[in-house]
Amino acid sequence: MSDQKSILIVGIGNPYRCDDGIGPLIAKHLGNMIPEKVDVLADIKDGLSLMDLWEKYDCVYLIDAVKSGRAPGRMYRFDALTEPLPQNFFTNYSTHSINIPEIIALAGNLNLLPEELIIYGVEGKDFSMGKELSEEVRLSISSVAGCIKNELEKRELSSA
Amino acid sequence: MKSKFIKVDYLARVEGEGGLHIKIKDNKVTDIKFNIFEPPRFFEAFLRGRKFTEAPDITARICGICPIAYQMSSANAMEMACGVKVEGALRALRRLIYCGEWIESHALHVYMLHAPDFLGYDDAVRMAADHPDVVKQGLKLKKIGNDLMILLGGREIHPINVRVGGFYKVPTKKELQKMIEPLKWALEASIKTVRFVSTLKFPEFEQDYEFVSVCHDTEYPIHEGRIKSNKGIDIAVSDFLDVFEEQQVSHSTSLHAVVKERGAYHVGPMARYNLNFDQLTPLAQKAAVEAGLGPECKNPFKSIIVRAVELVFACEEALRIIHEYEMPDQPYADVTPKAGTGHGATEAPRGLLYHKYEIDSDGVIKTARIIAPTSQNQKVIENDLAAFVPMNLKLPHDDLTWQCEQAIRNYDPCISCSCHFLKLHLERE
Repeated sequence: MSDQKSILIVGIGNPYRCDDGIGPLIAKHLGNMIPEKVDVLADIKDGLSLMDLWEKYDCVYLIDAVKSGRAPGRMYRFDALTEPLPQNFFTNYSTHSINIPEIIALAGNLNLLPEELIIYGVEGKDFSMGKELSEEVRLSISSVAGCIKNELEKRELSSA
Repeated sequence: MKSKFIKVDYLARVEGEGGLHIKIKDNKVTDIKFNIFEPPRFFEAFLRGRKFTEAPDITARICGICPIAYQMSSANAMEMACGVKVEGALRALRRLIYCGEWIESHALHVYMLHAPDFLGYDDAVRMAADHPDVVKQGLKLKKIGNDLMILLGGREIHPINVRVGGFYKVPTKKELQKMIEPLKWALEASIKTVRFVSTLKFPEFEQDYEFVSVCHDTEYPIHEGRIKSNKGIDIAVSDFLDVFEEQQVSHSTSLHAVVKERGAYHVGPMARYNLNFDQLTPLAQKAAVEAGLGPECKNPFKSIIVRAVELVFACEEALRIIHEYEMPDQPYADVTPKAGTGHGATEAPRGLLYHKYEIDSDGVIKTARIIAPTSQNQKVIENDLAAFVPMNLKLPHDDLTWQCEQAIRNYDPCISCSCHFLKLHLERE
């Protein structure tokens, strides 16, 4: 359908910081479950580069690990353009860059936001060095991926 | 009279973790500590036992902003140890990828980290609300520097295409020519950047620094040359440790480098500019003069103008290299390991970066020594604050704290590098 929105899914996080790697893992998992026309990225270099990426899409999903102090593996969903993001949830992408709420605020000030920006957050437990996810966080992969897949399917139906 | 304290627990807009603690009694500064509490990273220790060919990729991990500097200083050192000199197009390509790093790093510091200080914003995010076009220009400039690093290095953060002897793969002339139009835009944007930053308000503050940089007979220093100062140092890179030494201080996990028996010295864009003004391109010189800078600049707050002038230079230099480029037959010079010692010094965006390695006949690293620009500037940063604070004690506490942080950011400190991280305490009694 020509009027279908272009969609990008980005998994954010460092796979060498245990649970921080949940975003890229869910993005990779989704890659096999969703229509080919949806672009999926699991390896972005620099938070600022997100603005260049989402300029080309109507709708962007970001998946990131969060630290809210709640139960590990808990899923959050935010519509970043209509509701305020909790400032202390999101970890810094790197010491060299700015975190997700700051990037969204910067993109907003520069008029560089996509039409839609949805954020899925997964509560992490262990952000130390290593490649292993905590059990609770690992168990969230299929349920979070399933929620995003359902959302994409509903979009497909509503635009069909 | 009461004691006063300037305290910044966690300095923002610097790379890494550090803080500042200043104690003032009877309008005199009694103590200044630029604390670096980023944990030490032990790079020099875990390089031992690794192959000489691994040093560029391992040391690049010290910094995500200036990995090329680490790759180039280590490659130079290994090549010196093995008696190999990289010349011609390979040398030019090294200079070109380094120009990409200067453009990326300087654009980030000028626009995103330092300009908010002068314009009164807490950060670039808030600055972007009032000056969106300025921030967009800075981000586009940074991206062009990154693109140049991606083209030559495979990726912009910790590039993977640099090796001892040259590169794993070199670009065709056509591939490089794709960067001409973006770099022409970047050159114009850099000239506008110089004009923009020259209109900022600068505190009246000049110091008699010993500036130290790499210097080269025929070019503005980036990746090769002797080490010189405005106070008489003129040495080969291999003599670095005869003249400079590192000292431990209890309040920092980063060593302080000093000129032996003389003390603090200043590395970075201001040092390069003051020692090598004649080697800048005519356009960069013209931009500097129009911005009100002479061949000498001793006000560290004006380092933002000098960085912008270096942006002009780096864009022009990159264009020159691309125009003259002919693809070399081989992407690297063969380097056979030899037992020996090698030294490398190149100009990271924030200043001189020195490496020294001893390797055995199999090319296994026996010892490694890395002296990063921020280690070298720590003492001069503390000296600047010791001079600046007494001159400005009449300022309201928040304004003085703000300007102290700004004085630290004059040096674009990369704390992760120096520990191979900032918090601020201004204490008045």
